[in-house]
Amino acid sequence: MINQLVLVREWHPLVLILIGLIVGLVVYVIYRLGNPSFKETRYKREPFLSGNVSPGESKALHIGGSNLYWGFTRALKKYFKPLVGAHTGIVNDYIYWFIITIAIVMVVLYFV
Amino acid sequence: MNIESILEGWLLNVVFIFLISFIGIFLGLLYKGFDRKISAMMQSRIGPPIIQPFRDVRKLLTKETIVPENAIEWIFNGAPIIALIAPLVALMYLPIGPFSPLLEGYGDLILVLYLLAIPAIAMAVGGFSSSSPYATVGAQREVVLMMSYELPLAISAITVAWKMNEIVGPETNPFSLQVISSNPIWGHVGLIGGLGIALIVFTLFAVLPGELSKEPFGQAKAKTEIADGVFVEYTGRNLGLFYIANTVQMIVLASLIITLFFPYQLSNLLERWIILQGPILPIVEMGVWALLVDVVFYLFKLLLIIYFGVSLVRVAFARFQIDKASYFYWVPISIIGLLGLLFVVVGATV
Repeated sequence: MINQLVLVREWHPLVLILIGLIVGLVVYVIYRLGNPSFKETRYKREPFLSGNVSPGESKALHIGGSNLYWGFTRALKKYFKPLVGAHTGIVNDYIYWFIITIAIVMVVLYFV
Repeated sequence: MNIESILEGWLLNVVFIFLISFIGIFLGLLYKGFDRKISAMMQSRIGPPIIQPFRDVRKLLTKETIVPENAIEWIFNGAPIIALIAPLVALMYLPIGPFSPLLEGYGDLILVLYLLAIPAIAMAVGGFSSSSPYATVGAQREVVLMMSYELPLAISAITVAWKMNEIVGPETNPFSLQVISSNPIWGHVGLIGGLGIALIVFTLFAVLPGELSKEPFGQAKAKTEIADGVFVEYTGRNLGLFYIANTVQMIVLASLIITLFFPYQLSNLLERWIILQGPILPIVEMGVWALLVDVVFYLFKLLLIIYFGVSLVRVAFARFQIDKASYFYWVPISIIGLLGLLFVVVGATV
């Protein structure tokens, strides 16, 4: 019985999209349940920053790639530190890595 | 099949979608009330009444919606809607108590896990789009946390699917929730495998507060530290939708754990008991009673999972630093999950 059902009803992305749209309608209904007395409910104001001046659109708000994963990289720093150290930026070092890796691969291939 | 019958079927399905959505939201808010009450009692407080979350939502829906300057408005307003749609859609793929899922077979465990990741992404995107430094920090933390708990979550899913593949054979989709719930995993693993599954259950319970951004993994909205983080700029209806989304997500996760590991029903025992009683109880009404008992049993299982997975944990532990939280998921919990997988594999071969 299980096999039959699984064969009949397969993973279907269209179903997912349709259900998403219908559920979106449900969410919209909930959204509209709010107080209708506010005609124009949106107004702009500065973001909360504990009384400090907001940096606005400046780059102070920009989180770069190296900062985005802070916490993750710090948690696994024992793994990342040697990797970062290996990236010296000197072409000779990269060539050494290349030669060492080729040597290891060839040794492994020889024995296999 | 003519068009009328298809339309009729669809209309019925749309009614069911509305019904399941509202049941999911109702249960979510109700269990949020239980969670808050239980947590308060554990801290020797009286706590809010059980219906407080309903009042919170009603109030939030009546408040003004404010969009901060420099915010990307359409993303800022769209994020809470997406955050609520995803867990509600996931609910359609999960069995609710004795009832089969509405979209049985149209999606599987992998789909539900991806749908569960969407609210976290919506939170992060909403935080980044709000132009607030606090929200930006919160969103960054949410991204890191999500990257961290996905690995143990994936290990849990793979372990269950691997075992299911062995039980039902390669022709059936082992990720199918219907297959998993109709073959309770505990009956098919030995002692070693059982230990492995217990470790996997522990892993999933550890992921639960992370998915829900509850303490000790509430770094993204640390109130005392970054003033509610990702939600600092959210008000009114938008915050209300995020609030509801979080509660529905709690129900979806608890239902997922029930489906994966505790899909048992009490009605079978009840049937046997009624047969033993002989003519004292009428057999005709057994179907309704069995259904009722299974629904009550499902609600009880939900309560137990939310108590042990959310309430107890968030009262017992203080918030981790984000790097400690990331380490927690990547190293100890992943190792426990992998050990669970190993035990299940070893248990199957021995």
